Amino acid sequence: MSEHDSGGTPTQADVNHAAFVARYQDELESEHSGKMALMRDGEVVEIVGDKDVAYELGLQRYGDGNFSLERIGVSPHSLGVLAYAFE
Amino acid sequence: MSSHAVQIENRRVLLPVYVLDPTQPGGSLNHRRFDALVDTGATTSMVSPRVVQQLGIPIRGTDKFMPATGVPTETSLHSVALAVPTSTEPDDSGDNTTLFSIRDGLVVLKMPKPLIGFDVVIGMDVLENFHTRMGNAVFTISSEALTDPRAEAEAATLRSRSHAQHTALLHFARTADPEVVRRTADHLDGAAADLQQMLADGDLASGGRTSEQARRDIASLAEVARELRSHAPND
Repeated sequence: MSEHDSGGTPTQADVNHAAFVARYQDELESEHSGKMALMRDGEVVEIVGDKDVAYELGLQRYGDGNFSLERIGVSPHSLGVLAYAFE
Repeated sequence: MSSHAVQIENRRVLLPVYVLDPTQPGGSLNHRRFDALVDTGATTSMVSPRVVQQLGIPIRGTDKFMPATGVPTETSLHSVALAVPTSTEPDDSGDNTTLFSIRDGLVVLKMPKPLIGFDVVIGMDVLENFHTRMGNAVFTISSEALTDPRAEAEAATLRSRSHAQHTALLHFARTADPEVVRRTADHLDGAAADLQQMLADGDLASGGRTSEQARRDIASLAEVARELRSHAPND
């Protein structure tokens, strides 16, 4: 996953995703699988159970675009019948 | 309560929706219409790669879900506002006009691949905000907020508190019935005047506000009312 602004500067989503995969993913999965990591500047700042709550928390603390979310393990989302559409 | 009804065809419910990118300045103009599948079995809503591309909606994170194959699939998260049809009413000329209610602050998954026939999946995270029912091959969706200007005023006040929500406010001002917009603006001015009076009387304790909070709220209410009036279409 990659996203850059027009100046080619890595976004929070880029920086945080790279840091999550490299440093946090394995460590957090054993205890927090299914939860959401709220990240800023390559650091996990909070672990929250729900993506909507995590996003609202990030908005309040840092403002839009100044943080990102990373799923720890696999999402508990049900996709209904569409689970079969993404085989 | 007015509502929007669609025929259930091939056991599917498709609704016309507008997806808004709330992150762009003037974001209410950055919206497009798409067909949306109603999926009561989905706990989260999704948008297709086409929606993300056409609106240029930035990535706000990464999610992983388990499809029927049992192989975890990674996809991106995006913040959007979704305008859902909740009322169809005849206008002065006798034609039907569809009014939309906005669910903003949504965090949705991007579909891993495009699907045929729709670009948006409306899951329970959106549906739980509306009244829906199915019967006799008809799906009906409605929102109480459209019929109560006080509720809209409260919603508009909340929406004005962030840029993302500001987009929803402008959309409401431009698309709702002008009379409802006017009444909403009047209600906000009234609330600001009441609060100003309470501040002058030193009677803020009952509302649990400090003087500073009250001044901020007065300014916010007045600003929202001004914006509603300036963006409302003429009759």
